[in-house]
Amino acid sequence: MKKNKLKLAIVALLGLAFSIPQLHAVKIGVLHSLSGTMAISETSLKDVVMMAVKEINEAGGVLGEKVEAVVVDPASDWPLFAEKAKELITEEKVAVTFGCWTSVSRKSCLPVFEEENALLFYPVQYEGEEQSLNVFYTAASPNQQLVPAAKYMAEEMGCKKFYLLGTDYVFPRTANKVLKAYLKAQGVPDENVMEEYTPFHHQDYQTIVSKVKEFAASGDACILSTINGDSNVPFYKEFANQGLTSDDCPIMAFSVSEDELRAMDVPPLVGHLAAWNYFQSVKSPENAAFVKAFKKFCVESGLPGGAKRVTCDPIEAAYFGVYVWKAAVEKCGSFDVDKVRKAVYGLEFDAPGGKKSMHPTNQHTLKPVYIGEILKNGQFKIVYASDGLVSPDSYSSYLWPDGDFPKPTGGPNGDGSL
Amino acid sequence: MKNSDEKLIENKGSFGALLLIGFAVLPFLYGEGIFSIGDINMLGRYMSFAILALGLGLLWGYVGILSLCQFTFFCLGAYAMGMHLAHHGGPEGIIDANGWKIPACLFVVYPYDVGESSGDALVPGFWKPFWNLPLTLILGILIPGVTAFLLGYFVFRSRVRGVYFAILTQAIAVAGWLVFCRNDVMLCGTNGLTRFDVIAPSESFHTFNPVDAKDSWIASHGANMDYDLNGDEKLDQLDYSIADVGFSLSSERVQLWLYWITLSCLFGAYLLCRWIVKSRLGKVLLAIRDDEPTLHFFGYKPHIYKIFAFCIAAALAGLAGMLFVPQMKIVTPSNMEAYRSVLVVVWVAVGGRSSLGGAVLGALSVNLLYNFLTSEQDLLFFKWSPDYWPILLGLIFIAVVLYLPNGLIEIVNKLKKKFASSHLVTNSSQK
Amino acid sequence: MSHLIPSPFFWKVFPLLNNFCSLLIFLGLIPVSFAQDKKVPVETSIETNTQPNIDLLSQLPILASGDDELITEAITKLAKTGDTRLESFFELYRQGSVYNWPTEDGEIRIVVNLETVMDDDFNEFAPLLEPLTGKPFLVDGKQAKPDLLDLEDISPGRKLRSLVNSSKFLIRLFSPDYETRISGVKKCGDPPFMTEAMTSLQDISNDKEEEEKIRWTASESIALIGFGQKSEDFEGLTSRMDALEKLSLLNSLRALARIDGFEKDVEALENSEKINSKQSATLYKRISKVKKILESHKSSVELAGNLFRGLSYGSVLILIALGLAITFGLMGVINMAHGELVMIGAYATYEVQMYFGHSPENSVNEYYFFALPIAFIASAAVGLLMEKFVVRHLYNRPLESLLATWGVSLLLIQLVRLRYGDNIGVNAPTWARGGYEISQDVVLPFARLYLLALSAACVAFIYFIIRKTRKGMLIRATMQNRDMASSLGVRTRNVDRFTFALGSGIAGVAGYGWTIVGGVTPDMGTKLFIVDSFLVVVAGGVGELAGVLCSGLGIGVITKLIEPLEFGGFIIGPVWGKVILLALIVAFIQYKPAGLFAPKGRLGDKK
Repeated sequence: MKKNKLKLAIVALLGLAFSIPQLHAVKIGVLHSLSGTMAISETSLKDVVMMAVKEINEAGGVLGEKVEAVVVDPASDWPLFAEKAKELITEEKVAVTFGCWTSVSRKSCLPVFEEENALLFYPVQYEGEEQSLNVFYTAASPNQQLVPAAKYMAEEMGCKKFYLLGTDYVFPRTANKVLKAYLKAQGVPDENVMEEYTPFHHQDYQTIVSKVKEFAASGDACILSTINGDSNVPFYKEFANQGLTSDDCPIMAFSVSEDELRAMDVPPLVGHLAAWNYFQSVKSPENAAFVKAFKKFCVESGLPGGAKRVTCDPIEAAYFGVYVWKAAVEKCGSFDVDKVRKAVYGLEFDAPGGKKSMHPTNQHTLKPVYIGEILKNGQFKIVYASDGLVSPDSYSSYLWPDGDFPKPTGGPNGDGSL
Repeated sequence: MKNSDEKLIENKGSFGALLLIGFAVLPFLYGEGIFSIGDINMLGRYMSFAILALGLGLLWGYVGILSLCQFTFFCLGAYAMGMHLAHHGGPEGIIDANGWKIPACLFVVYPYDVGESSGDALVPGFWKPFWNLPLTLILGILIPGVTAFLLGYFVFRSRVRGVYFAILTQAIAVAGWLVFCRNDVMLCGTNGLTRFDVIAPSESFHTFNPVDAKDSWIASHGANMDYDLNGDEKLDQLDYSIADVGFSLSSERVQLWLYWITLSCLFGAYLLCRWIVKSRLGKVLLAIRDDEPTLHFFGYKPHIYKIFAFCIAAALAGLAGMLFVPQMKIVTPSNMEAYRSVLVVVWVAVGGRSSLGGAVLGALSVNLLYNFLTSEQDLLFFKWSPDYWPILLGLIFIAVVLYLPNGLIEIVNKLKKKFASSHLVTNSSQK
Repeated sequence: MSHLIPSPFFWKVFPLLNNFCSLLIFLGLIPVSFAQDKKVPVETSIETNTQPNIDLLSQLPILASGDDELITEAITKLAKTGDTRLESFFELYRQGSVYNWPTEDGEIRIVVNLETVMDDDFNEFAPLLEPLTGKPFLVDGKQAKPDLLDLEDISPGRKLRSLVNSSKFLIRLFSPDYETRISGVKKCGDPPFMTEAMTSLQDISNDKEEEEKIRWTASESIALIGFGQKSEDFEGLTSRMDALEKLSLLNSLRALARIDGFEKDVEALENSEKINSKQSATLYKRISKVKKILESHKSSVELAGNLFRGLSYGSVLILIALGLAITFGLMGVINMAHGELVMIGAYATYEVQMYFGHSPENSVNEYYFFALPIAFIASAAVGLLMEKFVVRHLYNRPLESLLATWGVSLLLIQLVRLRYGDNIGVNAPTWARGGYEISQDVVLPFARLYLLALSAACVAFIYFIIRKTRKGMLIRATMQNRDMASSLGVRTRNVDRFTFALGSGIAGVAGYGWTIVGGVTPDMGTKLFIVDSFLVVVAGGVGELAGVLCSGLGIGVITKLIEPLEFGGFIIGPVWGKVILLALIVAFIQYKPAGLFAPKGRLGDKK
């Protein structure tokens, strides 16, 4: 009896120690939190990457090889991001990794990617001020989202007073710095710009909303909101509960997408705005096919939410990231990181939201800018679209007025040179 | 009271075995290519967690004080080391008017006003002491120690006890987290300190001279990047250039050294704690845990002993933080969140709080398990999906509490007893 | 002694539960009746449809002409009709939801499309609506659902958009709906100051309007329009000043927000020497007088607001901590899964909402009343299971209950996450939107009032059970001296089970209440509630209901009074506010090491 137990234990241990190797497949890493605080946003990105992988495999794979996604859960734990990245690169030997949401998670695993000279595709808008040769940033840099939005509020909505409201972390701080510099350049006096930050997971917006109410009593004020994640729900609820509407004081949000709206009570939000580079409501046959495919995938894989799932900017960016990598691999005919990186530069491709292209040098993506108004059904009505693609800045010209940007980091030689 | 001393003696053997594994077996496996440097690195970090757990093991297991802000002390040490490393960090960032370097991570969040140019930014004064390595090492232990002393002085004197003390420390943990998250306290906000490069460059041992430092910084970070070595083939070259630019954190040899240093510190910390609990002092500490009023009645001043234990635990946490940072290469306020400090309690409880070895065992095993379960694993019969890790881990915690009230260390002790009884006749006086 | 032996406890809980629920439902109805009082459409004496329908329809196709001048003319004509159906049409037109769907002969058909629908294969179609009525656009008796690409976009350009927008507010003046009408009245007084609305506003401010609030707002808007005019000389400034003084009589905060601009105008004219220093001096004097009046009004509004906000924040804290006050305060279990029990209550509310089919488009407010008992039962059931499998083994080892319940919380979070995903929307009932204005500019949101009532009811309920019922007596007996109670024949196992379930159930009610003001995520318990609840319970004194009440309200009010404080340009704000509060609590525990209401006598020694 006891010996049997011992045997079982040995078998189990062996099972833990050895994994069964898979043949003829190229591995890619998926580094998104499936638990913890950030799971609310990141699980959708994991889902869409899995969908892209499935599509690619059904279409015959990349360079004749099947793609195998290795999923890990960094559990919204920043140090664990670095550990998991290391594991993906050195143990799983993945050709490329798709992952991260928060800046701090990216910063945490950046040294790993640079030391191992591996590639990361990062799909979320962020504060910029970074340019690593080991990362491709497929979402917006500040100049592709913030400035057009502020311009829209001033010119189109006729706003003269701006309340900059954000969660206290690096993206809102940097974003507001850029916004303030822009507004100042437009001649908005300092007393017409208010800035306020709340801690992460802040839930009680009573005081702030009453301040907004006072600020907006003049009837020509707006809020530029960089409130993050789960604070949005209580903020918008309180805003509506105190009797404010988008007529009194429109809110331009930089972190509220269709996916976040799923968790909100939408009717009181109708008329508020958001600035992104993609909306589910972009009208094109490609986008319709993408939305359809995503919903189908969610239903078929039995994912929570099913057919109610929606696409949004980061989801699109995560999705086309996989295809950019595929196109680059096929262009250079190799999975080698250095060759793929060179092939990505200047690559033009069709994303669900339309034609886009990668910047020839600075690792970011050229994208269109859209501004959308929230509709009753949780979708956005696009009320502004930029003319063509907007070129990304890795470092903001508002923070580096002399244009003397730092050199890129990482790369094949580890020193930012190619 | 009966168990502690006996167990300590029992655990000596197992700790020795652990040490042997740590010092000889693991580096051997690494040398043979079975373990990657990543694994060694990971173990090094978990050992720094073990030092942290050791402090709490002493505090909770022997004095009966449950502190829920150990990770805050850990972060005080970690930030000290982080600021030092950021000073000598990567090529980004700017040089301010006085010749001090503003690291990139600080510059990005620097709250200078619009219209001011980047040239007006100055390194905040409290960053400056951390330029110097010996000073950093001292401060990294001193700051958490002194903080704990001040806190303990007021709290224990007014006889805050038990769960009240736990909740009070939790409030402190939350407050600390909120403060460190703020950008305007100049600790780099939620992104934390990053872009570390070298450790122990020679200039970090001398008194700072801005002009020299600027020159040497430009010399080492300019076009000439030869210090930044990566991989074994250039290691020899590294040895010659150490005197000028320090040890590159990305080199495997430095990582291995950091691992050994951490292991030695863990051993040292263990010996220190063991010495404390075995001495007369330890008896008083145990008496506090078991019956404080009586001890008070005997004329002792329990609060002095409590403050002492609290300071030791905080200093060990600071030490752990300092060892953690160069191996992690980032330090963020997320480590200060309230639940992290609860996690330390969980480690200690899983390992077994009635002995120091239990704390170490708990920290290592829970972290290794956590790391293992958060990846996809091809087990023999099925594929483990990382989605389910909290469920399994949760069940394990519950099972440990219900079926192993003295923690995992109980299994180790039982095995050892079994092993011993098959060779020797058990000492009947123990029964 | 046999009278002490309790009967199976659930027999007794249920009637109590019912009483409790009906009480809460009653309390819940109060804000509803407020809401309905406000929203009953008032019979306005304004003819809403002065012109024949046919005229409107004839104007619409012009919008698709592409000629800006013609369109401007058409919009102005439309706005003059005062037809309230145009309000939503203008909104849709501005937004770009109005399309031209040409017939096969190329004839213009103006239609509205709000959203696309998908069939089972996820193909998208655009169901069309009639532009004016908002009813389905019928073709052959069925709603037309063409492909979206067949629709021609006729959304207006930028200049037209602002015209459409102001026309929308003009139309709103005639709306039969209270909310719409008042927003129109208000908006007319905001920049760009619609002088064309003057006559209608004057009508409203006189006797044509029955609602006093609207009449008041109309006169405010009239004065604001006067105040907002451009001025080039002293006369212009004086007439603006007169308007401003009128506004000061109305205690208008909207005017206060504009005073700085007016001062600047005066200064500019003085600098360009269009007015002399004597004239400007009189103006400044009058301005400062007005400012003083308005600012004193503002500060009293702020004080009242802050107090209410403090109360409401405190009520949320009490609600959330109440369950823990039982499981931890009375029973001594360090229940780290308390937050997850709150979360279970919130998810139970979501399930009920789904069952009733409540959604933003189709509100079924009744769901919210049924959700209350369900949330209680769901959390109580989870609590019972926890008690049976985990907690009951740990009554003698409180610190280890921390570890086990931490495990339970990990488990519950991930189970819920795998079942529901992270993003679910709990939609508050519609009556929870908006608020009740008790005095000018002091608005008490219905949602917050409801939470106040809910938490008062919960406190009363717990108090009643523990102090006034036999069950409560047994609970007190068991918790004070388990061995003695047991030897007297109390089935302590049952009492434990009941008490833990009760605490868990109240946590569930907290989750239910939370959905009305906050969001619902699987890890809301760990992130938002657990630290605060322990703080409240400990600061109040473990084991005392009154302590929770006082510390919850105290923490709430102090937080809300600290937050808006300002020291020389440095606003404390929520982050430093919280840090200060935590420091205060730490200091407080030093001062009273066993909390506000410390257990006394032998009971105190035990802790």
